[in-house]
Amino acid sequence: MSSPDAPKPRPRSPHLQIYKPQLSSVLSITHRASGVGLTLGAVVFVVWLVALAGGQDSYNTFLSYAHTIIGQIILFGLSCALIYHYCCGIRHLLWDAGYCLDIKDVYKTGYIMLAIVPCLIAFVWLKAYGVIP
Amino acid sequence: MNEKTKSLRSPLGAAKGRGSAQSGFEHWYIERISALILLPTTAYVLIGFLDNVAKGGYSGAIYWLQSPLAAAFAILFLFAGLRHLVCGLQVVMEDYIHLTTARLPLLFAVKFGAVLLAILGVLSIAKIYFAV
Repeated sequence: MSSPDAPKPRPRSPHLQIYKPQLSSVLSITHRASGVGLTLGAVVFVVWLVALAGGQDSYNTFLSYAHTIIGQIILFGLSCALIYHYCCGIRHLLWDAGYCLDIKDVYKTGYIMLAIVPCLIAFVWLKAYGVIP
Repeated sequence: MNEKTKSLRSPLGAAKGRGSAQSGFEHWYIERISALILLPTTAYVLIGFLDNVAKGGYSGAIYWLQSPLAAAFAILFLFAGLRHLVCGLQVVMEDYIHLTTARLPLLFAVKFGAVLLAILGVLSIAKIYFAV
């Protein structure tokens, strides 16, 4: 401990390792991470278009990769990233327009988004597998 | 300031041109405008994909992309998405890659890749649309 005579320790900037995660910071870094991950999504979308334009055979080749377990995991991850980034992006656009900027609204919209995103992901995959017509 | 380093330039002359590169707003603006375009186009493409491709497979996908609205939205989705992607990746790289000699080639590679994907995507959509 410092003696009364010693200068008061200067406040230190928070390092990520010791900084308590908060909803606002976690959602923000996840937004960024999902955006970076969607780079792969852009590549997959264009590969899908090229395969589709190549005809039935090349499309079947694409499907044979997409239907592997790894392919399904990647597609599931990309769908999560897309839906999350989409919903979180709406919050960012609201902030840019000057709405929902105080802490209370930041948390409220954050929790609303966290409730909607899993529902949308479930809806997309249930529809993709034909469970929902 | 000692006599040796004293410059004949006026303080204003020394300060001019030292600020931002004056192009930050455009970057910010394009990122938001592309995001706004992506709101309807992503929803349209995702719903169209689920309705046509997930159900109809290859022929469903071809049938879908041969409608003008679907082809137009797919191209718009592709362009806005790639432009948004370049903006976003640039910000991320500028935040985390401090070595200019690493960042600049990477940024060039990202932009080159985005243009390549845009051309490939548009050619594919056009090929499907015109059924050639």
